[in-house]
This record gives sequence, C-alpha cells and structure tokens, in this order.
Amino acid sequence: MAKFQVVILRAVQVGCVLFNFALALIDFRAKHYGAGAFSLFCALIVVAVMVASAIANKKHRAAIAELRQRHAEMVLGLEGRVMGPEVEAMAYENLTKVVKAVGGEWIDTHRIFFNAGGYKFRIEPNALYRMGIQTEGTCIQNGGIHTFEVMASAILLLRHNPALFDMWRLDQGHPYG
Amino acid sequence: MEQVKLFSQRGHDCLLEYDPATADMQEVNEAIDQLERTYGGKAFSLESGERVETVTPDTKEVTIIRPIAGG
Repeated sequence: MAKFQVVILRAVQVGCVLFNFALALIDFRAKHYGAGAFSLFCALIVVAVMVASAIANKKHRAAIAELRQRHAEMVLGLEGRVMGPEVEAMAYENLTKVVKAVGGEWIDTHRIFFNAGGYKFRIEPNALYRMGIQTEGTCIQNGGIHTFEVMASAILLLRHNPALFDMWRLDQGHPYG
Repeated sequence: MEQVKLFSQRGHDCLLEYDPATADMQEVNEAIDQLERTYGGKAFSLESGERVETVTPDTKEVTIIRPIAGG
C-alpha cells in the first residue's frame, strides 16, 4: 500500500473512533443509553481492528526480517564456497573501508545503515532498502564479484547518484551506475 | 605505491600502479579515464567514499566501480 494510502486509512480509522466516542458521549448525556452503548461498541470495534492490524503487521515484518536473514546467510555461505575464504576476506575488507568512509552504521556483521540523498538506506547481501513510512526495496546484483563488493559498489554509486535506487528498483536486470 | 583496483572474482584486480611522489598525474588521470571507458565504470576512492574526477598525489584507494543491476 502506498504511503499516502496508509496515512489516509489511519486518519479515517482514528476519525471513526473519535466520532463514535463523541456520539456515545452525546447520547449518554441525553440519557439515550441504548444508542450511546451502540456508538461506544462501534468505537471499540474499530479500536480492536486497529490493534489486531498492528499486531499482524508486526508479526509479518518479523517473519520477513527472518526470511531475509536466512536468505542473506545462504547467499554468503554459497559465495564463500565458490569464491573461497581469501576472496571473501578481501571483499569484506573493501566493504569495511567503504562503510567507514561514508559513515555507515553496522547493524550486524553483514547489514549496514547508511545515508544517501536525504534518505536512510539499509543494505544487506543482495538487497537494498530505502527506509521510510513505506520501506521500498530492491535486489542488487553484479555477476562475477562477491556480494560484499556488490554492497560496497551500491553504497558508493548511490551516494554519488541517489536516483539510481529507483532505476534499480523499476528497471530490474539492467545495470546502472 | 598507489594502486587503481577493480572488484573481481579474485576479490580485486590491480589495473594500474603508480608512485604518487614521482608519477605524472596527467598521465595517471588519462590512464584512469581509459580504464573507466574500458570497464564501463567510475573511479571512486574507498578512503573518502567519493567519486574521483581528478586523481591527485593525495588520492588514495582508487577503485573502478562498475554498474550494478536491480532484480
């Protein structure tokens, strides 16, 4: 769902709750207890839906994060076997240099936050995310070099030209730099 | 000695080596321009994280970064 749609939905939900609470208050003050109870019930239903939705979204995000973690570990394990530990160490050293140069923040051993073009990004093996109310993501690839060096390349290229993120996201498979 | 590198399956390849104290920087810059055209990439410094348009004796860790694709 687009960012503005989420904001509108939240606003409508909050509006419904407040409207029903206001109606309930008016009815109770006018001693229309039945109508007041019904309005209160409607308000509580909307609140329950909002809470259930928030809990479900949180579980969904946690499940997605765990899948990404497993995917990243699988990719690294595979590349380590194909390219060898020396290449991986060299690639990791290059990535470390880039992260230090741009002031990036390590989340763990292979995920990094960094800033580019006024946005905060999270990068991990084969994936790049632009953080925000609605986080957007894209895979990143460059056949023939280690994932850590793909990450280093993406950070450098994106810092130089933040418009690349949408090019990678929207025109998949076509290299941009 | 400074090296101009390229990320590769071997970690990185050294494309060019020069001594910043004695090298003709114009020649070095011309060589890097040619490498950029050859590999379709752009020169960046891994030390500063910035695009390198013109290499000077103080520029370190120059690496040709090739385009990447989404997917």
